[in-house]
Amino acid sequence: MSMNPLIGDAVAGGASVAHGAGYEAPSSTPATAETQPKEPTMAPTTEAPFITNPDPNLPVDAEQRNSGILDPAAVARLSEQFLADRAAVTAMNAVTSQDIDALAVNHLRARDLDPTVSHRIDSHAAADQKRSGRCWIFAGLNSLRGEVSRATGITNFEFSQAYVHFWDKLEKANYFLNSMATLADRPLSDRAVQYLLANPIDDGGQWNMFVALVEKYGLVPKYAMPETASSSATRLMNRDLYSVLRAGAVAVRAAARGEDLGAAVAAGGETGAAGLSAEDAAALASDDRAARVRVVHEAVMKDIYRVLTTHLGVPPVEFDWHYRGKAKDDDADEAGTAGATAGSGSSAAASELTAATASFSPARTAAGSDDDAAFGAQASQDPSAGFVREGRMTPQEFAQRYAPNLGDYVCLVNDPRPTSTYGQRYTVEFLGNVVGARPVTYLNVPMDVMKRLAAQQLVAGRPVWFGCDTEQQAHRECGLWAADLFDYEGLYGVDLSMSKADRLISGESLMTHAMVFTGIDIDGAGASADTADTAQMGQTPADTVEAASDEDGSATAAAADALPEVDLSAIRAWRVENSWGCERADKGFWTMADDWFDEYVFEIAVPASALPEEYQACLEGEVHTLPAWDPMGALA
Amino acid sequence: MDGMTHNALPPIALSEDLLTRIRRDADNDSAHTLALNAVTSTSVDTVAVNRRAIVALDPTVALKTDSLPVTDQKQSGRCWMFATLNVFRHEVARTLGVESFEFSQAYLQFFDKMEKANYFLRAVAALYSGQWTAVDGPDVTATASGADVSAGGSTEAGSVAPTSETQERLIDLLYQFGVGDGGQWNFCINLINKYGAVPKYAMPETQSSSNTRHMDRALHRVLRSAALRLKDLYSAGQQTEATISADAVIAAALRDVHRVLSIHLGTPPTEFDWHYRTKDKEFHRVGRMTPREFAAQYLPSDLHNYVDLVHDPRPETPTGRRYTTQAQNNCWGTQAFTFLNVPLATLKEATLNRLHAGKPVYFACDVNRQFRSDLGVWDRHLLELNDVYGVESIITDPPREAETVALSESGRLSAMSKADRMRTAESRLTHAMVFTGVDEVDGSVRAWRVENSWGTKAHKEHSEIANGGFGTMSDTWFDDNVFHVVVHRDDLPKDLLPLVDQEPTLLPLWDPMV
Repeated sequence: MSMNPLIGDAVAGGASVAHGAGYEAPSSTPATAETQPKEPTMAPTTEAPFITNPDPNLPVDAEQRNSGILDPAAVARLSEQFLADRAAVTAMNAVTSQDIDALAVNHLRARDLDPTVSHRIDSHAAADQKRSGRCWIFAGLNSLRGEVSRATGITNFEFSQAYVHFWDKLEKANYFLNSMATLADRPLSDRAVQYLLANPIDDGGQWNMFVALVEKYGLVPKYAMPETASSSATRLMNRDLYSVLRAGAVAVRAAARGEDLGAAVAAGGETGAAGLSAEDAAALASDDRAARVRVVHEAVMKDIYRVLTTHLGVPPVEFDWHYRGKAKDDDADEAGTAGATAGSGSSAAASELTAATASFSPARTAAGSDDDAAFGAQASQDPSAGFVREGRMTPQEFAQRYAPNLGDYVCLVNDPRPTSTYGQRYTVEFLGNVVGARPVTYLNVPMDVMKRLAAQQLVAGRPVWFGCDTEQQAHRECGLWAADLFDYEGLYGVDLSMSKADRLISGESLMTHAMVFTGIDIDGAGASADTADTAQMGQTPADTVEAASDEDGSATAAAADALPEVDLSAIRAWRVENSWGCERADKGFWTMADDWFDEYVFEIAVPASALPEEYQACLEGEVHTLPAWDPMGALA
Repeated sequence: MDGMTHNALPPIALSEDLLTRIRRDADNDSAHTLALNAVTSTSVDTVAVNRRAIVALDPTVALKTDSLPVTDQKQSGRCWMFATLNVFRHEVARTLGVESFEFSQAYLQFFDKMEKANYFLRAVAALYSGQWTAVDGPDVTATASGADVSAGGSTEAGSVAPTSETQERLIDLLYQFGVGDGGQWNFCINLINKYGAVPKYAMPETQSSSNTRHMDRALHRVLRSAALRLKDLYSAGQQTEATISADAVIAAALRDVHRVLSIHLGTPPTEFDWHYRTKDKEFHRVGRMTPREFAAQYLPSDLHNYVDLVHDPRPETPTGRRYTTQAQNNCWGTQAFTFLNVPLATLKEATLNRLHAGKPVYFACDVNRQFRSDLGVWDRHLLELNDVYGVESIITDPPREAETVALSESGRLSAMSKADRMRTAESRLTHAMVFTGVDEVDGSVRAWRVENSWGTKAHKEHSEIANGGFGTMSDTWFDDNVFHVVVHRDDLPKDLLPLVDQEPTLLPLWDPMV
């Protein structure tokens, strides 16, 4: 087979084109396992003297090593070797016809990751963010909903995600325009400017951004601002918001740079005939850049508000708060009955019940409506049973009542890159939503510190918001993560290992998704079936752990706010509330092997008071600013 | 506000006062309530659609050069490869007298990924070793003037001296792109020149050729890992020793890349049996052929005579000049993507010349603007979004090429010029397709016929796309959203010919034309 170029200028600018003189063309006969020798018969006859690893199998021609041009003959030789390797050919036959994830899954690992955990605090159905990037809002609200259910007795309570989403979009638009004004002196091609323009107001967010919204705008129950077509599928809304914001960026920059603003200025001279007030028209015509920016900024925000309300509706300023809770008397009965039933069943189920702080049965979590499924029998006897009318409320009052302590939480990250330091606080330039709110900051901590804090919160009965790279080693159908859940290396026969730090540096991994830990499985810590039978209502999971882990029984009662000790080496798995609906995984709840946490969890939010003393001190430290495009600025 | 200390302008918070004013603007508009009611319950693209535009874009055209059913790139970013091959396949089918014909896209895809992997590693090594300009410096003598497009800093003749900041930005972009599916006309020509082509049956589609995400995941892991090793080598060792070790790292990585590619796509044939049956049921056996022999027989011998024309109205990139960029390429050692900027009228004239000669024309555009994929129709006013929202900031009407207007006469935010859309990343090169026909009425174009490569089913729904997957584009949409066309030298107005061979000006990799 001739490898001489058939087409004249095959590789413009390259040296000798197709292949080096030192190689013969590979055999044109397709290789078979039988005829193909282990070592190829063709070997380079000339080598550049500096080549220390003259492996003839490598796809770079010796003569071309300096030019770096790929040698087709060498590629063909690799193909021959490949076809002589039966494992490789088998892999090829399988992977060419099926998705690799179906073939590479580590069956034994998946089998061993069952979803039952020793400590479980969720008792509701998983929510569904649908085709939107609002995971961080869902996760934030999911970390609060269990508390509302406990306080009210509502099964499956949900806050309105669309309400928070609306204000996030509006605030982010405002924040973006501020950033554009701040960066007006840089060219549009500047890296930070382009980074922001590429995704002016992404759906994604961060814990601090969630807190900023709740503190300013409060919360409402789902019925007060339900989902719309666009809240669940944000693509077209974002397309149009981005069009407005990029036009807005051009306009704000022109205003801030003192450039011509176009027709409105001339027309505005006539006492606001142009739809502008006389004051605004005068500001536009002036040399006062701040005043010009203010007028343009407002014009952009008017359009943003129109687009947003068209897609999401108008958020309520107050609403009627009423609900049908569970009659208090039924609580004990129901939980007791459920506990007894479970106790007579599997011990695994029993231990879950013991661990749950929730005062109602997990068996009811799948109930669709709080009115129907849970209360059918009761309601038919007393039509008003369990109904509570709280009356008119503002969203701020609602948040004050049901989510009073968000400001106490701090965000911890695990950023093992050599350029980052543990104990150091970080922020990311131009990352935020509410102008004037506390900036997004992270405290970088080692993995064992992060994990211990998360575990302690869970054992104490509090859910934990976290951010991770969810796509890695993830089995969507079964709702599992484990560091080695898919054996790609075995299937490819290729080393794919990489450290967490290197994955961050090279863009292989970053935070892509936020969820909530709602349980943890600690080896030896779970209650036995006996314990379940004698469990008292009101006993906290922390007590259970103390009792179970303290074999000689000398444990004294812990102080009310003291955090339980957790043996990190005994953690088997973490239970995760996702926001992808409840049709897959364990009714929408996923199970994370502990080794996956190490590799792919980047961030958690916990109360500042929970931090070890040395890290509490770090919270006062100086904040180091990372550039806008740093992977730590990735929005969950 | 943290990180906002660059500029003396006071931050503008979303105050109660500001909120009241922006609310009042919408609340006083009854049409807004109507739009809200509609769009909260259905897609805005259903509500906004302009029936008149659809009717005006009836798909029947006077001049039609295509004769084959559309192709389907599926869940891959190979549009440029499909489009380039689609330019030529109709003529092959006519020559052979067959009912359908496709070149194998998977064959070129295999080598595209292999070449991109090599390019990535070579480029990264050159950047880390400080030899980037020496090794890859494209044949350029000037850089674009103006801070907005400069690759950074002053330059010496024949080379670019990037600052550490632009160098870092370039490296980060290379890591980000990796061996992604994207490409341009010249990528495909590079591959055909070097590897030839085969008919589709000689290397058919596989699960991964049509769904590249999981294949790319493994390729990127191999390549990024190797790139970090190269970084360590050059930051630690002596240059010569590092180069030796770097060669070994690159070679080993390429072997892994080859293995992953072969498992996902199969190994490409070095020769194949070429036979076909004509429409008249006549069987032809040509016999054994190599891919290069096949390309030499069925593809034009003067692929180097095709010219990439662009319409780029930004004043900082004047027309009449040729431009190029670093690192927008697949085959190391070949010249990067270059193009000639011309006025819109010239671009259209050349496109029409080519179509009148009976030849399809490759083009690149921002496909999802004012588009309904189920209808297969593009028009500037297909979706009356300004009307639905009660704004003026989305559709630019009348259109502007370059002038920046911040606020309109009514005091509302204005939509952008084409130049500003490019500068703000609003318009991007998102898709390549082929013009295969045109309908001209009284000297102006009523409709352009477009061969797409998205099959005949609408995405996710399973309804048929109108007109068998061939789209219909209005001339106003061409004005707004078509950026590149590739024509033959012979189709160029005579005064352009001398410009085609001039030395190109270098644009950074993040330029919107790239």
